[in-house]
Amino acid sequence: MERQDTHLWVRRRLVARRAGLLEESEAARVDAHLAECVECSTIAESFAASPPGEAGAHIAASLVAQWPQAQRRLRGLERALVRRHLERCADCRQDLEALGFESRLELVPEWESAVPAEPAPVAASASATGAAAPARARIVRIEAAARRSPWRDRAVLAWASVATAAAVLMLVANVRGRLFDSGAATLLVPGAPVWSRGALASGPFAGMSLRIEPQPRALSGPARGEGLGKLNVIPVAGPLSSLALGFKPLNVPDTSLVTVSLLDASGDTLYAVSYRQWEFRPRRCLVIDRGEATLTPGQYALVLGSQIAKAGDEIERKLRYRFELREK
Amino acid sequence: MRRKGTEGTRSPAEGSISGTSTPPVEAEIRWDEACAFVRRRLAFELPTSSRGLIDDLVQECMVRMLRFVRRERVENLEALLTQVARRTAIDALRRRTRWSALVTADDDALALLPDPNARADEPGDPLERLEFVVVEFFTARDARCRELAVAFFAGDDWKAVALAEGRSHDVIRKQWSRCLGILREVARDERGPLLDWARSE
Repeated sequence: MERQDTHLWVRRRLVARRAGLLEESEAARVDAHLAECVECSTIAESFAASPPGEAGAHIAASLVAQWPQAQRRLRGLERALVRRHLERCADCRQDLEALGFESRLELVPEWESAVPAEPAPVAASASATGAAAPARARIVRIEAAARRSPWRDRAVLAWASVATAAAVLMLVANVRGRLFDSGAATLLVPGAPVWSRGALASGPFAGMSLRIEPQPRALSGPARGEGLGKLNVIPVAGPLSSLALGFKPLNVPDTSLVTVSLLDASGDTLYAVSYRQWEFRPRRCLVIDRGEATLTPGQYALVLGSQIAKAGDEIERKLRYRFELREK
Repeated sequence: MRRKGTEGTRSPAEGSISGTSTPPVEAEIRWDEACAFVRRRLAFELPTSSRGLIDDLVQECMVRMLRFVRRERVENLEALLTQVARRTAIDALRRRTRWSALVTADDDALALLPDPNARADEPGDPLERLEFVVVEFFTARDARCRELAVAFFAGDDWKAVALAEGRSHDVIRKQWSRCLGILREVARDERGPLLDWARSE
């Protein structure tokens, strides 16, 4: 019986050992058993190669593929974490919808964990700037920074490569969106095609379309607090349905909530959404995608607001980028 | 299934992801054709006894393809799908053994030999699921721990992580040990095979 207990103890830790989650003493004990037990070492070999996964950044593709079973079988902390991820990750929602599944995980009290998936909120979210909007935004990595970019775009790219704190972010309003990973692709390669949902309307296995994201425009000279700051002029030809903006994010801790708001000339909030600071890294840009409700020429402001708590005091940080869409 | 991309709008009927020196303005994948291709590849890769897995594995391959397309340009869709199908098939076979290690038909009477059919209904891959749980857990709780977890899961080697961070192996290990403490504290009361390792003995 004692021998069986050892087998059980070791086998239940094989996946954690592979994921680097065991303390050194535990890992050594597992390794010692594997060295002398053929059966357990045979099982351990199945963990030797990594699954073709996303290193934990997204819900496992193998789980997405079996979503009906997952909806019934996920329990406790994992269930809460998957649900929370789905709420903020448009990519994973899109994956599920592409397979014809509902992109939500039902709240079943008896299956939930007693432990909250998230600690107490760090700060207020979109309400910081007034009108809140559903968080249907996306952040994607800057792509297609073409060699023929205007000088200011080149400048911001050069700046981004040397400043570790430099990140740019991308937000999309009024469309479904997704979060692009900080994968291995380099910054200056031509843009990766972006999957559009439009062509999927006729069924889960209908055709898909891909499109290139708009070239990002760099914003500079932000005002801190309530100041005006520099006006960035962006030449346009008529109303825009899509606009990509690159800018330097706030200097706040990675776990801080940052609210990104788009204001019109009269100061009304057109859209606002909150992100964790780490989601802006490493290099992101903001895409405003208005669809039918195009952006007309005129002045706008992009406001980044963060509230972080330090030693019991609330510290508010804010950056305001002004830009004007000006007819060529 | 694949044609070279050209400038200008692409007709849906052309059905390809393009990847040439001339970036296309638009490209399209014919989803049903890609599914059929993947299904054929999986049928080739899987043993006859595992053909029942094909429907789920086709879905898994398509998700992996979508995620790849979001990250990178695709030079050759057929080559990508062939590779994805092969890796997915191999991993699906390993997955059965992985689950058999975590969950047995009767935990009180552990079978010494792995049971390939044990908990065949447990969805997904246990390692992928556990990695997701760890990263997502630290996403809200500790950014530094999240960074370490992501770096380790991407490279599987603490020494490489330490080198990339410009810090000593010991420092990184100590930081990670602190992170594990946070995770264990929450996970020790959890039920289920994925977090079983965190319970007190």
